[in-house]
Amino acid sequence: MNIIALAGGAIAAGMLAQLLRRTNPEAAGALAVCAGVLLFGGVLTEAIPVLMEAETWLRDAGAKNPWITILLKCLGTCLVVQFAADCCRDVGEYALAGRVEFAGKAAVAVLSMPMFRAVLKLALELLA
Amino acid sequence: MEIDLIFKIAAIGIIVAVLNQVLAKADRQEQAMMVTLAGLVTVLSMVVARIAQLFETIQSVFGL
Repeated sequence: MNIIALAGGAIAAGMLAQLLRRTNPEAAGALAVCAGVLLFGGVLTEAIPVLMEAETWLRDAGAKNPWITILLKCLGTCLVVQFAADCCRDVGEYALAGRVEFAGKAAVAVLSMPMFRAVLKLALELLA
Repeated sequence: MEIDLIFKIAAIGIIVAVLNQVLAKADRQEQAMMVTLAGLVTVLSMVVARIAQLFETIQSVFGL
């Protein structure tokens, strides 16, 4: 995780995008999105051991298997939606970014439905 | 962090912008439009390939 290279790359890409903004706006948008993709991809491949470690901690804490997969899926969905929404905002499509975020919220709600049901059942058992 | 891809896209963008200006001044608006379109298509094809690769990584890591 060479953070200096990542930061330098981001600044260079920002400057180049600014350079292209006036003469060739489409290429500037594409360049900004590409820099985001490279930065995100570079960090993600480095962060895989962290996720594996977090998963083992969850398992040791006694979390059941389906909950862990739901948690990881929700995290992945949020990352993808955040990335897509930021790319849309970058090229100036703010309404589209809002739509993507709404779709992400709906997807996470659907994904975590079993968890809500379990918590509700637990609460009812405590009350009854 | 393959920085050369970013410089490649920037170079294509600049070349397309210059060509566009030259063709516009030479009173060939259609060809200027064609050059801009071609430049954009090549840039976007490069970016789309990287986005597909990124989404595959995310799918494999998070089991989506």
